Amino acid sequence: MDSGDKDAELLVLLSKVKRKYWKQNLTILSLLLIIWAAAGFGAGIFFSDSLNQITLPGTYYPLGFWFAHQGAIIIFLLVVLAYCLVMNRLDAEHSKDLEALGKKSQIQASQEQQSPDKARSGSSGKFSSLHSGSGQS
Amino acid sequence: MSIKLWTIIFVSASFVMYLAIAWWARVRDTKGFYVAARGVPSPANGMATAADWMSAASFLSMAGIISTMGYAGGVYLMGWTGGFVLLALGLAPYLRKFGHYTVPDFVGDRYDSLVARLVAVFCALFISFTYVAGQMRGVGVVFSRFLEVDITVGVVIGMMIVFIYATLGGMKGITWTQVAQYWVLITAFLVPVIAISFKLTGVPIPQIGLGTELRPELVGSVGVSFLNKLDATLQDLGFARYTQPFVGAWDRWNVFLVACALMVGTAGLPHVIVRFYTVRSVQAARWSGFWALLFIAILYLSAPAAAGFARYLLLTTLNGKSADTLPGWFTNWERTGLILWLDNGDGIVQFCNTGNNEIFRTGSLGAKEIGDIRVGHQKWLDTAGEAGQDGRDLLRAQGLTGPDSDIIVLALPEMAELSGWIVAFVAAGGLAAALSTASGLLLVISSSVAHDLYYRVLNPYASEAQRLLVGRAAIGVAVVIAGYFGINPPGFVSEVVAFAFSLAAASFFPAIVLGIFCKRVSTWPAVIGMLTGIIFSAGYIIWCTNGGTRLTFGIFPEPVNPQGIGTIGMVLNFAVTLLLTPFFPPPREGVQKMVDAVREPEGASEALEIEAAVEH
Repeated sequence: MDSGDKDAELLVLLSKVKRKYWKQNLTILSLLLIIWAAAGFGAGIFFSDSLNQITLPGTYYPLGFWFAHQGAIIIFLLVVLAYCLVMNRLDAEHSKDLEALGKKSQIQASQEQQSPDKARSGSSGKFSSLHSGSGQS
Repeated sequence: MSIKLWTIIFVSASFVMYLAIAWWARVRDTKGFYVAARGVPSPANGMATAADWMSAASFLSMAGIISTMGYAGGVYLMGWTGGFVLLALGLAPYLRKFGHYTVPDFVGDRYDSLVARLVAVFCALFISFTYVAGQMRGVGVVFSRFLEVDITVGVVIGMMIVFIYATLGGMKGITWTQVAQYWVLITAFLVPVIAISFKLTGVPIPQIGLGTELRPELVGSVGVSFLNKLDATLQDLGFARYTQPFVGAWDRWNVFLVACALMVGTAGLPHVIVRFYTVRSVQAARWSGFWALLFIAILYLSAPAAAGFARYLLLTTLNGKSADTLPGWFTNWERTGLILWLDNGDGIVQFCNTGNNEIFRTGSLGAKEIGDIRVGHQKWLDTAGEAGQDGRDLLRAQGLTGPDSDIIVLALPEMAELSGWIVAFVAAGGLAAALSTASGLLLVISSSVAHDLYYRVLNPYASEAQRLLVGRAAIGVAVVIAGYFGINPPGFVSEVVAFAFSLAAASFFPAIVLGIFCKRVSTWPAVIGMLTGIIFSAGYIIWCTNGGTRLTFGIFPEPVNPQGIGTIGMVLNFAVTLLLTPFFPPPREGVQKMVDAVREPEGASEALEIEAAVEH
């Protein structure tokens, strides 16, 4: 009875952690895609004729032409690099959050040591049911 | 030594190397046919992805197409690299987490529908076959141009080589072979570009050379910008300026539509998505995505430089020359029909964008047709127009003005006055590009047939051995079909490629994106959306290839290029799916849980599960 409440509390916490991760993920993704679109569609295409009025400093490249033939690709590469760095860090933070939750549930599990086996297997069953949809059909 | 002998040496040596690598990987890894060679380091996997990605078209044709198109050629540069960004950021991490190897599998499971799965399988197979046929053609072209063997013999040799290492080598064999192929193709591409940049500008880095000054001794004065000089030369000859955006039919919107269709279509290419499975963790997958784009960018940033320099050399080394003073590469490549000269009688070459142009290409005309045109043209010259027929008018009517775009990469080493063995090395590079892409695609075709069609639809009780057999047989059949189309290409090659990209853009892409990012979308809206996108895009392309006029749809200032129709198809697909979604029940709970799981980063859940299940 008591352990059921704690499980529910853990589940709420877990879905909170997961939602936070997904939200951060979407923010990063949309920021990077805005840069991607601005470089490719913006500078490379829609504004290329206005940008062609100036040259890339230090070279004779008309700027719009440079974006279409060189600059966009360089920025795409930087976008993917930024994605690697930021997402790998976000993943690490996320798994730390999950670990903290995992420890919490361990403590609970050890508190329930005395309770009959049925309760324990029930609680871990509920917990792992969260992950049952991992897609390995 | 002759170029031909060098070519035989380089091509055989590279083939022996690929087979040896496939064999080496084979004897160490006998488990599983599709088992991704997890444990491939990220940079190596990135190289393999890059080789997989860069097809014969990227290597042989792209620089030439950019050379002819100038600014608008950027649609291919931005389209193909920009698509990679979409793939690496928006699709690959989630499809990888989903845990299956094919896109149709994701679409089928996410939308819980056989129709969706079959539509996706059909698209995947169509795209892959279009692509493989193009690669086989590329192999045949390289063989026939460098070794002067029949194109059929070339295609058959290519088929055998690919078949051997795709069936025996497995995924690991293919991966390591592709790493070797990357080095062959990138070296073969870069050496002539660096040489030509140094020759024209004195700067050995082509990306800088393109934006700098011409060597003073070439133009007789200091401080002449290469691009300005190229623009001025083109303008004098009646062409549009090289750096000028939006010429004629390539207006702002068409450039956007085509670039976008290529990006979105590329993101749906099945053989590249598979690559993200071959490393151990999702972190490593992200890094290999970065490495892949870096290795791709090395070629994609050099191709526009090759294009600009070659355009300048084509114009300046041909115009005003006579039969005796034409450069050696002209006569070498004239034999292959990539370039031909029909004089107006004054004995001086004129290569321009007016009615006086004398430079053409053979295109798909046969030897006899060209012979007839030449005879008629000579007669026309000899009789001062009394008899015979002006061959220039005939070729212009066929759309064969100007040299074939493939000549840019093929003749670049000779334009740069490099020695014969480098020319031969370019042949090996072209073959590497074609073979690496073909092998990756064949594996996808085989898994689509064996897994998505045979196992998931036709015979769900198939044993492991049966599926493996079907997979191997599928590769064999696919090689034969691809080889057939390589030998007898359909007359509308570019339309077929446009078709492949547009189908991917209008069908897969919205279905995958909504499948991941919008949990509420269920079976029917998605299926109807996909069908709308496919029917609309396919309809427009078929309409245009059968002589229908291009349409503006009342929205766009210029008629829409069929290559860009996938963008509109994609928007329609998104719109239809999202509009219908509220009227249909949400997907069942299992599917929603699957989407939740796909959104979680790999590894995190398992860790928690183990912690939670610990027995104290």
